[in-house]
Amino acid sequence: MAETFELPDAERFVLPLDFENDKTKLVRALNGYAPRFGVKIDGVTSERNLPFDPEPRVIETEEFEFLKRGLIQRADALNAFLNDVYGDCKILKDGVIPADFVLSSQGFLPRCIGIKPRRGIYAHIAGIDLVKSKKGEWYVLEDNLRVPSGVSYPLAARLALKDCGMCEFDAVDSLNYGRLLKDAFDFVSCGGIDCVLTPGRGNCAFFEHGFLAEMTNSALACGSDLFADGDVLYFKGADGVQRVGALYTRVDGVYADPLAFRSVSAVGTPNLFSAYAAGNVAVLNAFGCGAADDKGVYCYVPQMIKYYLGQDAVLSQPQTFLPTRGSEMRYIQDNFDSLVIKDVAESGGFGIRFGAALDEEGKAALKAEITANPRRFIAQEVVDIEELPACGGSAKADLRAFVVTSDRTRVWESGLTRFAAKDSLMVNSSQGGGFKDTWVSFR
Amino acid sequence: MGIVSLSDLDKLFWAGRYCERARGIYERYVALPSDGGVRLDFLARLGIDCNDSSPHIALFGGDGAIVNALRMWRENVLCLRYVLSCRAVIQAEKAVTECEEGNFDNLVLRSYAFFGMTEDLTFDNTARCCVTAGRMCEKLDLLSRFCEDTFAAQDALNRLSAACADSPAVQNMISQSALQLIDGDIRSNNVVTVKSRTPYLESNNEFS
Repeated sequence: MAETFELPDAERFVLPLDFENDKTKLVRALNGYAPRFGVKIDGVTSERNLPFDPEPRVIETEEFEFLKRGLIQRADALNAFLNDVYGDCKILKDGVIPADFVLSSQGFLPRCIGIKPRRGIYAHIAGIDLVKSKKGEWYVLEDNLRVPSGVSYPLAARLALKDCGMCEFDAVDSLNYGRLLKDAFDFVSCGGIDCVLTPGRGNCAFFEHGFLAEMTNSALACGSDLFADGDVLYFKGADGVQRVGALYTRVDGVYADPLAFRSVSAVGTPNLFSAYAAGNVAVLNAFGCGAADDKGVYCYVPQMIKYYLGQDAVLSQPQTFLPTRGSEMRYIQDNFDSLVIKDVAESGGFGIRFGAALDEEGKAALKAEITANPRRFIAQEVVDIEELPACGGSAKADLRAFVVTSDRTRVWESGLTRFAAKDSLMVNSSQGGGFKDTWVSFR
Repeated sequence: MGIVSLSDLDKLFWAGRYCERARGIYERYVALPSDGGVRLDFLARLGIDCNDSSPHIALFGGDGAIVNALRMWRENVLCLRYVLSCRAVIQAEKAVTECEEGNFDNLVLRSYAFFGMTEDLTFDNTARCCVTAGRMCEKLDLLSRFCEDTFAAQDALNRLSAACADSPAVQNMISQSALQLIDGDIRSNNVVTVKSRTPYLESNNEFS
């Protein structure tokens, strides 16, 4: 399939990509990896190469060190929260977060209560979405702890850059992400092979599943390629059955086991949860992470950091309002035009509506939905996001940082920079738009 | 690279088959004289009815046999990145992209690169053997359709048998009785009948 991009002017490049030919060569090299992603446009899902802008986003060292401190703090607090809410519930008993708010989250799985994952880690991989305002301040927009996606695209871009022989990375080469992930597998493995669980070829992120399986020397399995027997998980290999020690699931937890959770699921493995609960297989990320993936619970992360770590949050969040609080509901209803409304359970950029972009009928309908089901929504002040040069123009961009927790918490020294589709305020791969590599400049 | 699942054996086999098919048809076709009758006969041997279109379109057009074989090759390989490596995927992806742009110059190179990378970069022995088995099955089929030399057919059969000997999983995939019958055909210089056996190669049932 042919891809066309409008490439930036050569003189705007600041790094080795000085020539038009080099940029075209890089895009073609990347397309050879077939970095597909499923995009839903006008209700139709189609698979295409994720558009790539060869000009990388560069983040200075000190700035990235600041982000790292905040990201590590955040990931540690979220892991502590998950251990707590499925254990002693101290944060709820102490009234720091309303108990009913957490327990009513769609991501909270009561079956996980009392079950501790291997080494006490719930979210081994966190994808934390950040934006930088035009004033230069970083904000966390979202914590993705269920199935954070997207790391493979900048990795493939970096491989393509190396294939083209364009530049060397002396300090840290971000291609070490495979090593980070493998370390996480090894730290929690129960003995056996590593396996990536994929919903299958039709999934929009299937490229990434195979890519990461290759990088970590793991098997790639659909639900039917696995079975649990006697609370042990096995992989049906071509050369025989092998025990699975660590399972990196790219299937949302509630679909990973049709006997334990959603019975309609055709992509899971029956009795997987039993094997996990028995401590015979490590699941990354563990069942139940959705409790902290909820956009409503996100509002309380600064309080979690204070409670569990005794620290103030390093990274800011945009001012967020919960309709479940009476005064904030009134504020939301009165200041609709200046807010973005988000459905707490949605992902992939879906369920996000800007108040100012709705007509009167749309506003009235959404206000009624919020009134009828306040727990389902949050409202945030709109951040005036910095624009980056992208594909001949400029576009709003975010940064998805990947935080990996094993023996300690580490931030991958790169990230997925996504830019919005033309004339769109929505920065998300599923909504169109594209990506850039992210370079952290070391001195 | 990862460990191949039982359910992916079929994809590995057909990745080898489609790649060999695209390359084998292309190489034979470009060596033909420009005589229309010869080219029509060529298509007839492949079982392709070109209806109102020219032989060239029937093979190289948007829906042509070679282009379709390349697409099927790619589709199988995209599911096998974890075991074959990104390098192998690149060959398939670029072959399709180039051919859809009307450029077939690199097709042979990319197919050989794919097989070479599979041999060198794939750690899983069964995966390697499976791709080889698919490749040799297709080779036997094409050799038979074009009544080509017995030595090439014997070599393909030997390599297919070696792939079976190297991997129990591949041995289970390939019908041993069909292999024996093909062996008999080749020994009696009857390569043309091999194509009637090849549909039964990929079968666990005894050929009868």
